[in-house]
Amino acid sequence: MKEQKSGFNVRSFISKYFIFVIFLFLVLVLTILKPSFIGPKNLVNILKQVSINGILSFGMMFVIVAGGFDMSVGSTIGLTGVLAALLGKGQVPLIVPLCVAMLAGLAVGIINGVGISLGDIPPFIMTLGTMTAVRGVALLITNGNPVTGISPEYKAVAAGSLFGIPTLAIVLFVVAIVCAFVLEKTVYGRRVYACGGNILSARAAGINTNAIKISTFGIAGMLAGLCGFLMSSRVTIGQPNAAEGYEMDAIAACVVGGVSMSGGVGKPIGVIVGALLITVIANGLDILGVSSHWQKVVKGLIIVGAVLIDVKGKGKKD
Amino acid sequence: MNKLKKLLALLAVAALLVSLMAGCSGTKTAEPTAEPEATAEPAAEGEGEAEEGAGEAEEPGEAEPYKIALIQQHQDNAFQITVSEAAQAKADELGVDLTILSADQDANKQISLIEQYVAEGYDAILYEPVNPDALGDASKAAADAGVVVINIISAVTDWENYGISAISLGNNVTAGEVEMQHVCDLLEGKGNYAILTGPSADSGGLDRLQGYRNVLENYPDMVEVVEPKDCAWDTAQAQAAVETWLSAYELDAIICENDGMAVGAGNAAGADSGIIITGVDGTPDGFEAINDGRITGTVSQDGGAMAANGLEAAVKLLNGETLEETTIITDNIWIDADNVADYE
Repeated sequence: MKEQKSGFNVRSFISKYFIFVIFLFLVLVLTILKPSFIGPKNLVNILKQVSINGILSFGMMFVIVAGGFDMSVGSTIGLTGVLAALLGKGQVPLIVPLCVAMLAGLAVGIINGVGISLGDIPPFIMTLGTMTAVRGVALLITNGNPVTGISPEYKAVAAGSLFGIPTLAIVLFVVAIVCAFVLEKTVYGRRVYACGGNILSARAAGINTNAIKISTFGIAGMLAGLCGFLMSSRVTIGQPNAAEGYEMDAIAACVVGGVSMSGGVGKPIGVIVGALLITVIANGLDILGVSSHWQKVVKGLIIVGAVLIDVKGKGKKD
Repeated sequence: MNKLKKLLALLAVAALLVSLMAGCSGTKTAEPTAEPEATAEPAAEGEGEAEEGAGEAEEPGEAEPYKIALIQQHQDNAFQITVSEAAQAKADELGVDLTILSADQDANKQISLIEQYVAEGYDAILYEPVNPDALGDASKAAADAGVVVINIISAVTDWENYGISAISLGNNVTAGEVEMQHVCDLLEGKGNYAILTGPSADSGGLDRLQGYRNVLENYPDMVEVVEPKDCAWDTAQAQAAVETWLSAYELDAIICENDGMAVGAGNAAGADSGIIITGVDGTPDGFEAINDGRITGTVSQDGGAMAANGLEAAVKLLNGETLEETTIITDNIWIDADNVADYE
């Protein structure tokens, strides 16, 4: 038994290791094709570009590890970005739009969680509903117009950097550390994994699985709110139709990073690599000047290929 | 009993849904639609189109205002909001009863809305086709029922054959030409450029790209450094793409198919970067970026004027007049730092 078990670990390690290999291979190829890819200027670009998707992916990771699924985070960025932009014209300190955005995101997440755990609505349906409705609220608030005129201080949040590292990347780094700590070192984190691994035995062990599920959706929503705040700062306007399809990139980053869609499995470091991979594909193909039609094809193939490896790895497990 | 209960519950839900939908469309439709289905005796009016055409005149003599529906492609961005506002203003000026609706980018919904408003006895229907090839038959059916049908902003393919009386639009090819011509003039015909496009299959975007190409034919020294990038009208995507480009290429101009993407490009390049960055549309975010030097200029697509002209044409036709031109073209205007204040 024991030997078998360690055998599994090696396999799952290889399947995760494979993502690193793919990632490094991609970096190598891109560097050979276009040396400026690895130049300091573009590394800063990659750090900036990975941040919002990375933060979103960590929220998504909580949800997926606990056995759920969240389609609504992209719309939540739209709504919270608009709210943050409306409050970010310099009339109040920046902490206010930040908190409002995160609280609004939290509210959307809790609605999702309550509908799914107490209302027994399948996660896909529930969050599809909130995805549509929340986008509608963002459009209603702004009447479809972009929110302009945000303050220079607010714009400086995403444009700024510390020792050459963009603020956005620092935020992602902090989020990653906190999420990794919570998931891997706390009782709460173990309960999240237990919830997604086998919900019945989690219940039998006395875990309040409803509370855990609601909390994971809350975390995903709150981080989407943070992304909304950062997004408006980065693009300098609050767009009600911002971040359309970002939920898909976040899900892709998780899955590519080895988070199992059936719950209970996944490492934070994998999510970082997953998010980096998604970003580097787009960035690398941009820097090569490849047509965007090809970019879509390549991105799709890489996502499917990575999941294929994931599935094969698990197939051997059972 | 149980079945009955279920049935009742279902009915209740259905009723709730219907009333909800009625409530929603009620708020969306313009306020002046006071008596929705006043079942008046069919008084045959002078220019009454068909039986359903003018069923509403209760008092002979002073004519009831024309009932006109405007079905927008969607109502989700600044451009479309301008269209609604201008149409409403024009309707108030002409004294017609205007109902504004949204097809939410769904051709199927647009067809249903057309059918519905024909059935409700509207005099004219203005719409921007969600898809140029999907709306022909619905338009024909409406026209056959005696409703004046007019396309705004873009037109159904072979629109004359589907009973559509007139089209009021800008020309996306011309918009692209105006934009690229300004870029070439500013660079004196020589430089490296890149293009950001809308969704790859969008006909408006493809027309603008055609416009760019038309102008570029005359400028052999303009070099396209990278393939055009589809950023789906999105600011954040455009910003990421341009950041990446700027770390590897020397660009003198970035030509964008809308203002949203131009703002993203402007954010990536920074204010007063020396790079010519242009857009199309003339939306508030674009104006803000022109004002602080992040983008150079934009070509306005005057959606408001297109809607207003379409409405005017509809009223003329309902009055029994004829139109001088059935294709009403709204001109594009180049807007930069010098004249942006006139348009904000």
